[in-house]
Amino acid sequence: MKRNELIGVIVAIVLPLLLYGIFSLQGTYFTWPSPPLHFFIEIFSAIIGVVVFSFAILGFRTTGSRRILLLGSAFLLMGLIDTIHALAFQDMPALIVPTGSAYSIYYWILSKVFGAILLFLSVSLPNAVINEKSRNKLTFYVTASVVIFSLFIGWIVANYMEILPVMFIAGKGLTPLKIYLEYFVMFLLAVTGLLYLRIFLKTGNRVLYWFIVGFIFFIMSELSFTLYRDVWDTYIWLGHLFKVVSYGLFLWGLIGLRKSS
Amino acid sequence: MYTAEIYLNTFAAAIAFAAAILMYVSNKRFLSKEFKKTVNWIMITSAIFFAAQVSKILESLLSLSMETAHILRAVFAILVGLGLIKTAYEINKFSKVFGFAETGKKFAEAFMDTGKRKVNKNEKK
Repeated sequence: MKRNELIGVIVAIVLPLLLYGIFSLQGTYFTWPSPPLHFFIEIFSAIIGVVVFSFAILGFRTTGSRRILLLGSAFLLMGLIDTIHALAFQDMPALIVPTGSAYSIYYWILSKVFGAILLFLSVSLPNAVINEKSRNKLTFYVTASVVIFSLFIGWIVANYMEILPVMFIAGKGLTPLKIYLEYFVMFLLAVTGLLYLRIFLKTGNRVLYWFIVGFIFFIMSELSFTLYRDVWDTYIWLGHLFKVVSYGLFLWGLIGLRKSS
Repeated sequence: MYTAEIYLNTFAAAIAFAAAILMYVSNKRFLSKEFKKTVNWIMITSAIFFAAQVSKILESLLSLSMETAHILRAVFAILVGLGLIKTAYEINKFSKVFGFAETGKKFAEAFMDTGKRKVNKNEKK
């Protein structure tokens, strides 16, 4: 790894931790309700997720790599469920799904758990090459499955909230279940990042580097979602800030590829 | 339905209508043959979206029952979804023209465990 690449990785780890340190000091805690800003952040990352998926599908059609198909579907799944999460967030008008912290937290955590599992599978399974004849069919089946699954998640949370375990208690904070699920997501993302780092050290591909740094910010973003006490507090905004940085880095990697094409 | 919601639906309907008209005029006057089919599908999807918005306004004006309103919404949601999928499929045909296919290929190769790191002269020393 080159020196500047190493510095990038260190900054991605240290900077968020430093910010957490600063905002844990007395007098820095704040709450700021802003549904439009939250909606904008989520839609921004969902659009980037769909862009990543589109390029992954184009790559899958030419190379037949199962790895890129799984990676792309993870981004599409997270993008779609995050859009429902954005619509269900507290203080949003109930246009399509019911709104409130209970609903939005469920959409968030389910998006991250399934997304992290797909990302982990993308790198942990051996990279099989799908034969050329099946690629178009598989693209259709995978896309349709992800869309249907996202809609199913949207429907089940909206209709069966009363039988689902509680994730957040207003005024108290998060339940242990939510915190442990976030740790599980962070663990999967960390392993995914490390396995991709191993490939990067071998190939030195720049787009992979930006995705790895993006994953680090993604993990830091998840960390903040284990800390909040109010759905509009400091840690929620820090988490969303790191999420924007993380998706910005994924996009940056793709832009770098476009320039070199 | 609240008055604000009627205004928002009217606004969305107006945008969809304008988009459909714009696509129709572009197709008739300016665009070359290869783009026409794609733009046609954008126009059709915009028109369906326009119809969906109009039906939402009519829901409140005609005081339709909840069941009828929900069926209408579901039908239009499916139609808009199908229109979007077909439009995306048509746009996808241009991926080669704009070099997206090449970028996609490079993107996939980046994540595959193949190729060797390029070492420049300074690194060798």
